Amino acid sequence: MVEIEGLISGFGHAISPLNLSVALLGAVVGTLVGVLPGLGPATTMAILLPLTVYLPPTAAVIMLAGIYYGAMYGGSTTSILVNVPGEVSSVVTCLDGYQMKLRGRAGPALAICAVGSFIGGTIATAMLSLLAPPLAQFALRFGAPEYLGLAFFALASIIGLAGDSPLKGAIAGIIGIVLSMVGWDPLSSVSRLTFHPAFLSGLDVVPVFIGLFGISEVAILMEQTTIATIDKIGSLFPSRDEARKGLTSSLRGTVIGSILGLIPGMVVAATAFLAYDFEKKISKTPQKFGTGMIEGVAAPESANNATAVAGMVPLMSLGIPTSPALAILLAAFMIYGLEPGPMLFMRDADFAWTVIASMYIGNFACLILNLPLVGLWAKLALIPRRIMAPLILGICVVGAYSARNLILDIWVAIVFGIFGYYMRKRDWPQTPLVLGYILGPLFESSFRQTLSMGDNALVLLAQRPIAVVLILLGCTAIAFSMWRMLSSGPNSEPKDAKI
Amino acid sequence: LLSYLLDIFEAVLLAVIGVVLYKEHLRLSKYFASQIGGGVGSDVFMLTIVITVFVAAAAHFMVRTMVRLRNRGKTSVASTLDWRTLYRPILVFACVAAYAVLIPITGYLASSIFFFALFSRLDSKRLLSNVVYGVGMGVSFYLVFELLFETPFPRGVFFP
Repeated sequence: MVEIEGLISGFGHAISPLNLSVALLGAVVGTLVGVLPGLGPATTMAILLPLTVYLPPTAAVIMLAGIYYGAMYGGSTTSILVNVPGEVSSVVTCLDGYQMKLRGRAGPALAICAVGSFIGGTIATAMLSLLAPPLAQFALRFGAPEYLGLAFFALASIIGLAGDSPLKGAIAGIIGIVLSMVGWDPLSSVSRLTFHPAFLSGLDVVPVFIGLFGISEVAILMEQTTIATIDKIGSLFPSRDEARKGLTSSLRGTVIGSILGLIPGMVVAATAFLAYDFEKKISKTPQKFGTGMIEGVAAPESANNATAVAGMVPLMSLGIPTSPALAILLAAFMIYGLEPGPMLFMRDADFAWTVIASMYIGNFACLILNLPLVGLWAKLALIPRRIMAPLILGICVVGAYSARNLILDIWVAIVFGIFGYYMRKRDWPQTPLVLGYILGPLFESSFRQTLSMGDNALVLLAQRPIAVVLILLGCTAIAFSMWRMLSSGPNSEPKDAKI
Repeated sequence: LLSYLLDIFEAVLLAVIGVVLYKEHLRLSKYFASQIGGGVGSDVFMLTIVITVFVAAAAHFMVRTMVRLRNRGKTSVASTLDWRTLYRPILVFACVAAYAVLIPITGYLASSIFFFALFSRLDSKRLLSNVVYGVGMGVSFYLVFELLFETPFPRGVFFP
């Protein structure tokens, strides 16, 4: 009942002219970002984060959230039309989507993608409305040992799921934690690892993320030389059989994406592949997958949207981000003085419910944007690089500078841009680094508080069942990833992926 | 071989980070011992991270060496930096670095015009279109970010 009341109140706030405008703007920018190959939601959110200071906190978070889930809609457009995924989550959509296009069925494929994405996004938002408040209520019982267990579980599962090289994931996570330690010690206010007075308050999250995602993205973009063309799309209406199969596959994909999206580190691309694989397994004609099956388009698209939105559940109720884009959203929460986690639905209930309500509206807006305007989005995907790349870089520089009005932060962004570029080229996963950086302070403070409570020993952990369960789950994730690495050989490398 | 050399470089870099962290841990240990009598200070967590970093550096070195030995004589599957395409990303970083250097000297407007013109030169050799593009984008960015959003950029020599 409290949830229903909160949601109704949230809708009341969400339909205010400003909140409605920014939800639509977020959906438009998100769809555009999704369509453009080479530009991901994390990159865009990092670039636009400092520019949102001109908005009230609720409106800013609504816009960033809109970019996040809007990108999942746009990703399939270029997958189907030119066989180039706009997002890494839409790689699997290329398999059957592009084949449908070759058979002259691009329109129905795009329509089913949009409807499937809407189903996935809306059902996952409903899950967020129902699940986040009780989970936050449950998390009120958490003390330092439970938070230590939670941070360990989140980092361990992110490392385990980061790619085919868990060791690289672990190292990236540790580097993220080291970066989070720069500046004042959170408990005793002693400075550490500060090599310049500007870093006494730590490495600012904005230039770090802008460098890692924005500048490195442009460097990657400048390497590419492929120029694609787009043919006429034709009618969007699917046949009755396509609609029936597409909708049932979407529902199955939504269930898979919604459940797996709750796990930290479960990237949207992975759930899209799992949903595709599941469809293939239950199909009577699995051999036809890859030749233009509508199920192979609908299931992964709804799964990736459901996963993206489901990631908001641990973020809002526990303060744990499950992906880099959500880590940036968490940073936005903190910049605005909001504390995601158990207290969010108590202290800032209006804010939380307004954001959730805006996600229903934003998902609907994305559906409208993606059905009749799909041709326009497809054309935008072909914006020349010589216009796109400097535009992104120009905004990156302004964004990095305006975080604290320091030229030094532009240099921080450049250094992290080089670092991010190196990581991508050498197949180092960026997700553990970002989440290690964001979760580092929680990990450190809960670690030290647990030690203090247990007279300088971690024995207290063993007396707290929730902490024990979380640590065991984390150890299982590490053991699973080790087993996977050993069984496939340590030389297997994850493929280049856009985050 | 290049890929393996980069692997070694990464392991060494990790070890160097470990050494820096260890020195910081020693400094903090002394501080906390004198202040709170050796309680749980920032140094304890840092020591945990130091140990993890050294273990990670050793593990990375060993795993990559094993891979190298196992794949000796075969075509490497590990991806690495391609020196033939690297010059363009280097130019990207150089352009942004030049922009960061110029903003405090010439101010936001002039540096933006220079940056956009220079950057468009990477993809097009037509000088006039580069200049037009640079002026158009630079002035647009100036109007939006310095005048509309009132971002306090350095004034530079042209607007003292």
